[in-house]
Amino acid sequence: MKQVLRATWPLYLGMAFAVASNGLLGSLLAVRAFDEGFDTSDTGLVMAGFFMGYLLGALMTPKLIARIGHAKVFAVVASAASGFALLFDSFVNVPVWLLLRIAIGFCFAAIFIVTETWLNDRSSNETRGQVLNLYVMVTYAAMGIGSILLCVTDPETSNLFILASVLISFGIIPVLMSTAPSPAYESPRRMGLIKLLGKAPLGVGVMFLTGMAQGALIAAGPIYADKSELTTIGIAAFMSIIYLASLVFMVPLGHLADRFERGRFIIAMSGICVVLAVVQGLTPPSLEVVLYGLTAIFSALCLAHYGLALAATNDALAPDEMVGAGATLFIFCALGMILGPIVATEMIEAWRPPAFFYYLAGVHALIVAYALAFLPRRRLRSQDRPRLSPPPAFGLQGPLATAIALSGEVRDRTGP
Amino acid sequence: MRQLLASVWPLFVGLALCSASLGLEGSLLPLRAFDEHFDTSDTGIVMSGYFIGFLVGALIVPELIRRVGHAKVFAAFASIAAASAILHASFVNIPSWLVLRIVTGVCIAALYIVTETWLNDRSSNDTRGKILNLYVMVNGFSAGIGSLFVSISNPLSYDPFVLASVLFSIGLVPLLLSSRPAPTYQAARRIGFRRLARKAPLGVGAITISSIAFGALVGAGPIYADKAQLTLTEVGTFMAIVYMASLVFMVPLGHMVDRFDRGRFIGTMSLINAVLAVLLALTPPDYEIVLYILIAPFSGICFAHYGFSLAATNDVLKTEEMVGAGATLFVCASTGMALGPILSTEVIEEWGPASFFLFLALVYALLVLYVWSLSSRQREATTLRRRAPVPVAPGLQSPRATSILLEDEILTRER
Repeated sequence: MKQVLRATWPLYLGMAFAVASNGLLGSLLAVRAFDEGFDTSDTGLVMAGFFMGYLLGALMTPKLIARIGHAKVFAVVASAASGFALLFDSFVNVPVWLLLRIAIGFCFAAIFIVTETWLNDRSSNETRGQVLNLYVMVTYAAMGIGSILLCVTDPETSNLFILASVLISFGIIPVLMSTAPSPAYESPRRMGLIKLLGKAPLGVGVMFLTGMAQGALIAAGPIYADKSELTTIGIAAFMSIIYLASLVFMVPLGHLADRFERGRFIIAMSGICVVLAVVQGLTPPSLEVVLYGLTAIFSALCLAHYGLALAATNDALAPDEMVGAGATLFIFCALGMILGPIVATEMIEAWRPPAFFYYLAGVHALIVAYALAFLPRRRLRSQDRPRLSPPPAFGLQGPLATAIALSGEVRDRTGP
Repeated sequence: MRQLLASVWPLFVGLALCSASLGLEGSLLPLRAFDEHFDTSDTGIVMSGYFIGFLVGALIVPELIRRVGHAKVFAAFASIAAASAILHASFVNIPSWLVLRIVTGVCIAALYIVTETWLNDRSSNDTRGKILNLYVMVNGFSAGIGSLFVSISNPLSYDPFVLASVLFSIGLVPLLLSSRPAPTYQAARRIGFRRLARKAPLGVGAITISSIAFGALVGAGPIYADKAQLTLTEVGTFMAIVYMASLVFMVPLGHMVDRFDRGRFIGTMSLINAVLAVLLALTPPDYEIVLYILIAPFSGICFAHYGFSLAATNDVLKTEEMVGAGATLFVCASTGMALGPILSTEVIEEWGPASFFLFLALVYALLVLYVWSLSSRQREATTLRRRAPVPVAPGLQSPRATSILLEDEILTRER
């Protein structure tokens, strides 16, 4: 592991800079859009743009990597993203922001995919789990820190956009300056959408629904925070708690998940989320500490659904199907993530800020209902069930981490 | 040649974008500095930072290219340049700007060295001269266009800095997206300064002194233009003429230098520029047209002195010494260039904008005297007379281009 770290730290570092910038930008845009008097639902659309670009990027990046190599793809998209980040403040209107947000989503999909496949190549079967776990932790930590950066200076000025841009630019340097060669690359073949839905209805459905919840939490969270009159520091705290709590709860939740039947565990988690979200909706925003505490637990459980949906899908698949399924599964998640912020902000606009939490409660209630309907008739014997492979709590990753986690599992199960 | 262009165009496109950004920054910073009420002399120091960085870059980058490769070095430095361009808008004060300007200089040196060595590797003996010529032209032309951009938005706003930064960010894309393999790289060995100064006093002295004028023109030209109350558009135009005139005059001056005695030619050209500078000083700034007409030949000759000095140095060196000498000459040139904006802005601060050209006249007068004193001491009996290398634009190329042309010349002679 130490050896792997020595070879891959520039990648972790570069990605951390870029991701921190993304965390900052997410909150900054919401705050700024509010100040500029954008419609709440327009702002939601802009924020959803990230996931639209993300989906596109996830579909197109593998080809690009195969053509020009990992490090160069990273540099190109990070450089483009650093340029895009600056343009928000030059062209303040909804259509341009939507386009920029889509473009940035595209770039980040590429950044994540480059990082994941590179790390995958550098790690052996023994270290893969740890390496990817660390990767997810770094992502969450960087998102959390990035969100806090919102309070270093006045969001009204251009300086935070500049900071976001410079952070990404800096991220390029360690990746390019590392002399380690980029790995060879083959893009995985996707399984058809319909076919996967037929094979693993529970996993696919939960993945789509949790996408709707996670997309809203991440992208519309700052819009909610802003609308409910939190201060800049309050917004920064609210957003960073989402990520940092997920980081803290990641490992214990992963262990817990392996001890129960999959479908039932999902129902239990979603059930708790429904209750928490309703209580959050009833909490007046002036009781900030209560809000933060509830948000911490809620978001950790909410983001953990990604890993749960993944595991539920695996349960229904043969080992050789898992890699192709991972990429397809991601598409379902991304579609949900695009819808999430749009619907959530419509609800905020139609009613009032707490509707944000009622939306989240509603989505998790749907998950409960859906999972109940598809609960497997027969209990799987525990040794048949694949271990919930690392990383258990995702929400900010490319489809390939999914595929990689699965392929690692495939190897574990089929033997070296 | 067409085949060559088909394979190196991403390099040219990327470089053109970066040079445009450089031209924009060069005019933008003095204008903003003026609006921020920075001292003129402090602004001069900031502008000289670029040349200091350029020198540092020329010393450290070759090793980096050898270690991580051409395309990655280009991308990394373009990215740093993009960041430092936009940071000028965040930290508006002299020390920050000086640091950022030095960083920019390092980055540009890296971009130039990568491009030059790459072009060199891809070209054959037949096409090398043409492709490097094209390279200098693309650089000068883009820098000129870039300085025109300054007039399209308000220097006090954030937008022109965004433009400068985005140009760098986009500039690295074509090179990275082209999947062609990068060449391998070997650094050249330098010749010590003392040894070179003893062997080629004319070349070393001429390059140092003329570079003071060059640094002043490119670095402090916009400061002068601003102090002389030119409008935004006029400042942009003034600098665009400076860059583009150097291209127009490049070829004819390059041909002429081979037809006369080196020392006498350098002396004459310096004298012409001294006279032009005095005329420029006497021109009231509201006659912009006269200013534009006079500055064109002045900057043409000013840029070309680099090539003249190079040729004068080559004349007295052995073939195998020429490549290493190019790098040492570049150090002399960078030192002069860094001094230029510092000294000239001191003069502007002390005696007003018109004294900017009197300063330039003085520098060229000094060069005339230097050349004259050398030629009276020693008549060059041993001159070998070599063909002068063609690209003759110091700020628009790195020492490596010089070395490349010299290597090329060596090859031609050995054949």
